[in-house]
Amino acid sequence: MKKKLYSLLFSSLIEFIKPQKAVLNSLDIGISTLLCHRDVDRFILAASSLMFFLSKPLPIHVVSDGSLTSQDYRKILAHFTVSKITTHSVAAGLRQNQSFFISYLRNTYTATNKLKFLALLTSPFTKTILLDADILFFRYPTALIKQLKNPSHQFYYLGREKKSFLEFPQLIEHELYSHRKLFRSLLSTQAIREDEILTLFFNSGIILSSIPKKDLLKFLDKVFTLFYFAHFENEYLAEEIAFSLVADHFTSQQFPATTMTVVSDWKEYKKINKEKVECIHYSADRGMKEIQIVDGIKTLLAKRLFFK
Amino acid sequence: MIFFKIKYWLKLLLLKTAVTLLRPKKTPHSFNHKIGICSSISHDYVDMFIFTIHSFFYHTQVVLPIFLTIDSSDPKKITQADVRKLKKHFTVYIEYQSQKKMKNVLKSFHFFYKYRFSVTSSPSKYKFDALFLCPFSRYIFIDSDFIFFKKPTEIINFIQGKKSDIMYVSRERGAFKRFSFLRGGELSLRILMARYLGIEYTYFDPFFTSGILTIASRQLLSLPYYEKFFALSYHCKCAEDWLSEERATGFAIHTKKHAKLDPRHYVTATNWPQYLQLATTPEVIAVHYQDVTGLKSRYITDALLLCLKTIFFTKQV
Repeated sequence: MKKKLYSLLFSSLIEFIKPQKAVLNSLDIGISTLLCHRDVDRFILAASSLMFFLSKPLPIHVVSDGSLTSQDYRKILAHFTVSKITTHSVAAGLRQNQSFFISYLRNTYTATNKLKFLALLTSPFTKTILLDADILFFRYPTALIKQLKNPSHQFYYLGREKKSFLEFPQLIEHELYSHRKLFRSLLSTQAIREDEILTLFFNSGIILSSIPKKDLLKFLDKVFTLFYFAHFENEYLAEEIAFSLVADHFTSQQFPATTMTVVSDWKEYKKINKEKVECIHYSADRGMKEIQIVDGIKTLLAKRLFFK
Repeated sequence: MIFFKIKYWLKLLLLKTAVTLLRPKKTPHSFNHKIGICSSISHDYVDMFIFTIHSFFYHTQVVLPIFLTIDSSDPKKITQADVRKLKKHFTVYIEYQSQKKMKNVLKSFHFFYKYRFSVTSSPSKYKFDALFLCPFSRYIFIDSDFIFFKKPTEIINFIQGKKSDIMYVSRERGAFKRFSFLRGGELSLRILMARYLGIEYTYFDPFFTSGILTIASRQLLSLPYYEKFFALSYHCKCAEDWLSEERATGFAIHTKKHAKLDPRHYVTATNWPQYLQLATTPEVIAVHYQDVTGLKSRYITDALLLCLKTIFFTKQV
């Protein structure tokens, strides 16, 4: 009952958010997202909160998973400037071309998350912010702005703190830690070291990429050739692990985990320093969606529905 | 739920009663046995093990001595009462100093030693004691949760010395894709580890299980390969998984002449749908009831039915 009331209040408040219309004269920076019908409201909140704290409207590129209705499109168009819409049928229409990556995209048995690659590869922007719907910004995103203005690397991503693995040892098994290490080593032909960590805490909730699309496609094909060899393409984490391998291959950096945080359960959420945190990725479905909605309502009311 | 628990306890009681009615099958004691059985069992599995061995002896028409190890640090180790029970049925040799002897065997293999003596690694690590300390020159490792329903011709050939390689049970190929417990990338992990270690795919079976292993000589189990495997596993943080022992042995035997027992005849069932699909066909010789999803109860039912069918393993084959 309480959950339904919150959802109802949340979807009503979304209607009152001030539209953030960008001028489409430059396609330098933009937001790209993979969207499904049930996440439309949450995406509007995520993108609006980012643009509010950036004080700059950004154009949007939407990749639909096939469930978006015409009403959803109208809702998104009412809030943002949409520069491009890509539908899931694009993946099915791709030519086979002997490529394992294209086979993965065309495969109807692989998880829908694979369309995130499409969101990055078909994005019309030079610098693309790949944004999930389960993100909420609370204050000025210093780290993100810094990288947007002066990118020293081609790829930025969200991640957990290193100590998370000590506090939550079950993550090692859940996040297929061993696979990540082996894939990484096999692709780079470097020996595995017990102490190496790097992108093992990778999370694809927010990605800022300026990798040329041709290079990205070439590398992804190499990754998926190995995935198919190891029968890994159908694993639910295949998409995230492929992204983490991209981060390993290109010059990349993790956003600071203390200010741009990933939480996947209530215990992790309770440990967040609310005074410092700039944004939260409410990852996984273990009640995190409801927490995002409650936090969203609080932020919307505190910031007067993102009105200036 | 309570009903199922009561049913299970009743079945267990019947199994314990049936064990007391089985006729002993012993060989004369000798310090020079050429062939025997070895295993690693815990206190909870003693009655099941007795059934496993009785079904094996019944169908092979051979009686062999048995070698077991006891690790004093194992919280579920077999008790003196269990040893007496086992000795009543079979010719049993027990190694009480396995911990000490394994320390000696593994002293120059750092990662293998770390795995064997880690308190957090899975109890299947005790299988290595049986494999490496077995006094027989040729031996058969059998898990305590097997039942033989028919004559295992391949194993009889091994006993008679007609086959001199390593034989093992393998999972059915589809099992990794269809059955949830093996999801989470177990197959991928094995393939990737093999690739990393430079093992050619044709020599290595990623579907390997260690439920039954026939070993013609202990030298076939290459300790340097185990070490190499555990070094990689520790670097990848998957050394102490419950399937680690199985992976390790699969890698260690890949360079030796090995043969796979047909998975349609020697079935490894890890859950109920897999049992129904694979273990109920007429061609089944033996079933491994891998106890992860309550197949122990089914083991007891099948053991009791076999017991009645063979009139407590006395009916002429």
